[in-house]
Amino acid sequence: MKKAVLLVVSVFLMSALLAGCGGGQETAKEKFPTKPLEYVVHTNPGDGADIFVRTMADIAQKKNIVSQPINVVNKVGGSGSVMFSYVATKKSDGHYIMPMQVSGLTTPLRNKTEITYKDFTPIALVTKDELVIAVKADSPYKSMKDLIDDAKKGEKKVSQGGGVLGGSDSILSYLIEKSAGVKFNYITFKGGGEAVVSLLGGNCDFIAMNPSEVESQVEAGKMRLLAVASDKRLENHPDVPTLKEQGIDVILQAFRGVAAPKDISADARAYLEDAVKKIAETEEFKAYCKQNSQTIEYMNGADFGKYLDEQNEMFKTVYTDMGLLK
Amino acid sequence: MDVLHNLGLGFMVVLDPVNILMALIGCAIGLLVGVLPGLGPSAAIAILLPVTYGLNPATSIIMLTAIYYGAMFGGGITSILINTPGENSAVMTAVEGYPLAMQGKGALALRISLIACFIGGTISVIGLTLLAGPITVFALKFGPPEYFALMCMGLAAVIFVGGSTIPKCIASGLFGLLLGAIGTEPISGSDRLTFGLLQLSDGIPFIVAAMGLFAAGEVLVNVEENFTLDKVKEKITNIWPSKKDLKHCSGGFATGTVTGFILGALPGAGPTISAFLSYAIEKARMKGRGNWGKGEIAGIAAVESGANAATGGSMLPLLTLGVPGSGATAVLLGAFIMYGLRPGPLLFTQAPEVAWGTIASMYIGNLLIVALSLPLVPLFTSMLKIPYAVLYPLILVVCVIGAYSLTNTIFPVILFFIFSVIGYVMKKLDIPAAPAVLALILGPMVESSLSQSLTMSHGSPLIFFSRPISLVLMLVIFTIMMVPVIKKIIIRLGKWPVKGI
Repeated sequence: MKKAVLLVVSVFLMSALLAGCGGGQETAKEKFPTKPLEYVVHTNPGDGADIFVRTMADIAQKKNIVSQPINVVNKVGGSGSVMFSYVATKKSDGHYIMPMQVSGLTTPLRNKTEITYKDFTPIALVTKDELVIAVKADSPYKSMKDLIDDAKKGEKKVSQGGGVLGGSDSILSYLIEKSAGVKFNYITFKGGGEAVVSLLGGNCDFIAMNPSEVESQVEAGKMRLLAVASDKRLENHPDVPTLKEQGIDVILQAFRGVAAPKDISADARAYLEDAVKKIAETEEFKAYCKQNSQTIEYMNGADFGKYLDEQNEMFKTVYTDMGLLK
Repeated sequence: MDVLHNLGLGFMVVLDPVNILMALIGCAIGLLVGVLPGLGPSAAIAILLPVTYGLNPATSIIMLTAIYYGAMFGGGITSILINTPGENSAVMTAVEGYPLAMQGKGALALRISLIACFIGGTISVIGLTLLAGPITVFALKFGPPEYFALMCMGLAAVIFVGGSTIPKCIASGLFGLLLGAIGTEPISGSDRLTFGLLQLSDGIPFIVAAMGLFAAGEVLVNVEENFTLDKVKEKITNIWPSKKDLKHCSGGFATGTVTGFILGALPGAGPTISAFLSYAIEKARMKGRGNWGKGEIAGIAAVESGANAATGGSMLPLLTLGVPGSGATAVLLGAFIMYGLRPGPLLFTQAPEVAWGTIASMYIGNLLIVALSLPLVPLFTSMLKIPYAVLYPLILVVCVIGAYSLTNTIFPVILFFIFSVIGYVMKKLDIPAAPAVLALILGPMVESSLSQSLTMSHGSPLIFFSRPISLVLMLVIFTIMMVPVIKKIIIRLGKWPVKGI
């Protein structure tokens, strides 16, 4: 009995060894990707970035754009720094990808972390989130001019509800203030949802939000949009003028792209760039973007890298001006 | 009658056999996940969201709400049986339920909890159906000043329900406030008290503190005493609540349901404050008569019906405004969006079958979990028969897994160990843990609503008194705090003539 067990175990171990060896040889010659991809995301399931990531993973697998399965892994915490630390340890392994968005630049700036966006390989820019200015339906403001005129009447007369200082809505607020020469009373809420509720309850005068967060309210006639902070009008809202058209020279869009760890092979990089491009061109992705008022704008890795540098400089300047960076 | 017609539509969608089956599976899964400390309803839904991808929207939302209720009750089971609140709202359930379990009355506690679940859930669904419009309008009137007043009430109540002497409750509460200050400062967004650790910039996760202070602290104290404390003195009985018990709890059910539904409808308030205030109000209503702190079933009744009514209530802001009222509804919102549904004012008019289907599924989920669990209670309580030498390490292992699962990093686990030690010390000093964890939750809310209110008023504290609702709430707080003092003064004044001047 003992001998039989010993025999079986040794045969098992031998075959395992052989399989391992064989696998090793094959891996060297196999094309990327050789194992399932891991798409890491820094928010909880259900949050914006998580939905972005899962939508992309879903489309990639359904349409066989990627030959391996994609697993979405949530690494939450520190406004993206936990995700950064995790992916940074996967140097030269192109099987790990993550979203690269505004927080990827602003968190390292504010917290002076060791790991910054430069420690990753930019793969592609995918979308840009727009920002709109919304007021309650019964608000006396019918255009940005009304709002600014009222704001000029007194410092902090007009109040804005928004997220934590340093987020896109607070930056937009700051930029408009500078351009129009006014000062708003900025009330900090925990998130978009709270700001929306505060506007509906009449506890603030206007909010700056991503369109998806106010879409249903506007449709129901409970809110109106005064302006959009991009260079051209939104498809969904052709009658909402841009800030520029109303004399306020401000454009602010929150970008969303994809990045991978440092020093990945040229093969892996090309593959990922191509895969993301294909995903961005699918009907499903277009539908997702339309629904969430995101504008698709694809940029390949090299261009995205330059764009990141520009944006980083912009945030650095704004943050220093706002007093958030010492 | 339009409303009833739509509700009927909703039920028709839900009562499809496939949907019921999925709901049953959801309940079971939710229960299992909820029993694991560290994984509450939000985590359960988040983890199981991918499972529902293949299903059609209606079925998956039904499954998700079933999972949610299952997880809520699962959290209640651990609160009562092993003193580990599985979810914020279950803290007071642990305070009252655990002593009952130690007296061998765990089954009674669990069943009262289930009945409270059912009553709270049912009435809140009825409330949703009939009062959606007016409640939403009322909820919108709650701005930062009103929230501030409400949260202050909560903090004041923390002292009242602590259980030990007042100075110890206050000490525990202050400790909780300090813990709540760790993390991102709400106004400027900069880190505070994080010692440069980025993992702390989101603050101390409630569940880590709760597991450490409640469960692990208990385990460590017991280990020290070498299991010589024969904890479960009585035989573990399988008792059902008697008519007398139910009558005793009727006040608790009522208080919990009303408080829970109204507070639940306030976006941001959620089940935690509803459950907690229900408990405090019921204790006050009964003028402290009963076994408060040592196993008072009316307390469990109030907490559980409060938490479940709040769940129904929190669906209101989700469905009518598209704004989640609690962590779990936030994940549900994500699910809605993924299916291309956009909750908002138009949901009821444009897609009534979705809105009412969700409400109906909540009801069915609630019903199923109660029906499933009532007979299974002896199975749960038999957990206590496991020898402590096995049970306690098991609890610790599950807590560690729960802590790790929060962010898939080791950091919360380290925090958990630190809190276990603190919990042990607090238990030895007879400092109650409940005020600490409650202050941990309420503190940041008080702070942010205070700063928002003062920003709105340009620094003037008069804002709290110039708005009708907050004025009323402030007066209530003032009265509650002053009544004992005024009583004493009146008695003293009465004694003067007797003593002579």
